[in-house]
Amino acid sequence: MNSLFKLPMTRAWLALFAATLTVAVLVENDAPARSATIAIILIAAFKLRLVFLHFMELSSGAMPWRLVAEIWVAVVTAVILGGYLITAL
Amino acid sequence: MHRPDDHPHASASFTGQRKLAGDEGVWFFISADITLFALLFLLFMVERGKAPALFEQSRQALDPRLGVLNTLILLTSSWLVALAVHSARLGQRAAVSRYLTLGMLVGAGFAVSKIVEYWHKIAAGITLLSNDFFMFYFALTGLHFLHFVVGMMVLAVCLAKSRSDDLDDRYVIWIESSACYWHMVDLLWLVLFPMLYLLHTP
Repeated sequence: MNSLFKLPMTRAWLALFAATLTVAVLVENDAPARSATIAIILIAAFKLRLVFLHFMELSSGAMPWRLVAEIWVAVVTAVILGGYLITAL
Repeated sequence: MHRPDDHPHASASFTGQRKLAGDEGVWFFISADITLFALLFLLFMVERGKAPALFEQSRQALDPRLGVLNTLILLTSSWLVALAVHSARLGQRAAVSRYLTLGMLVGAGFAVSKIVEYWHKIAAGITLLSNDFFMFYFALTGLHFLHFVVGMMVLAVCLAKSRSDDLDDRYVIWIESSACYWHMVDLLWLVLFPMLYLLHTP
């Protein structure tokens, strides 16, 4: 069991779980103020990177796929954050 | 017949020589698929910008708790499938079978939750034709659900092969490729959930 928790995918899963529960707390506290929503979008970006790097194992630097993943996360985050800020400001 | 359970670490050296998990062709497919979804996300955000009040009002009809539940289900299923890949590399047949079965069982929870959610929406008279928000909601989550169903079928094939085939290098590439597809289903949901359920317009 101990060895299970030493595996990178297990550590990633724990971080993803904690990040999702953080989002749940933000939503349950009915705090979707602008800053909370921005935090939720950035947490999503963090989670996307964890899945790419530790579940899909791109942390070993397999090119060009690592680059594709990083660009995709950046573009999708910019689209959603940018689109949100246009209507929220 | 060669039983890799008798020879743990059978594929570890092979895996260690490669940087990419899975077949490169699968990565081309994943890249094309996530690019298509990125365009759909862009389209959603553009349309949302044109009618923020309508999108906000419609968004409030969705239950974010179900979204959180679905996220935890998919993340846990993904983790279990990643453990199955790890076990396949070590030639641990029983563990591969166990983790794949658990991954599919947990993953099935997503289907139950999604069907319940669709059922409630349709019972409340909310359909694809209700407005632009729900057109996107049903189209995007429906397309994602199709990916989910394909993923479950791919995992079922992996499970069957883990019981009948040698856990050799070929099997390792097969399960790595299948797992990457399954993680992509997870990835797409990680965007869909906040975008559809949580973008609050002040």
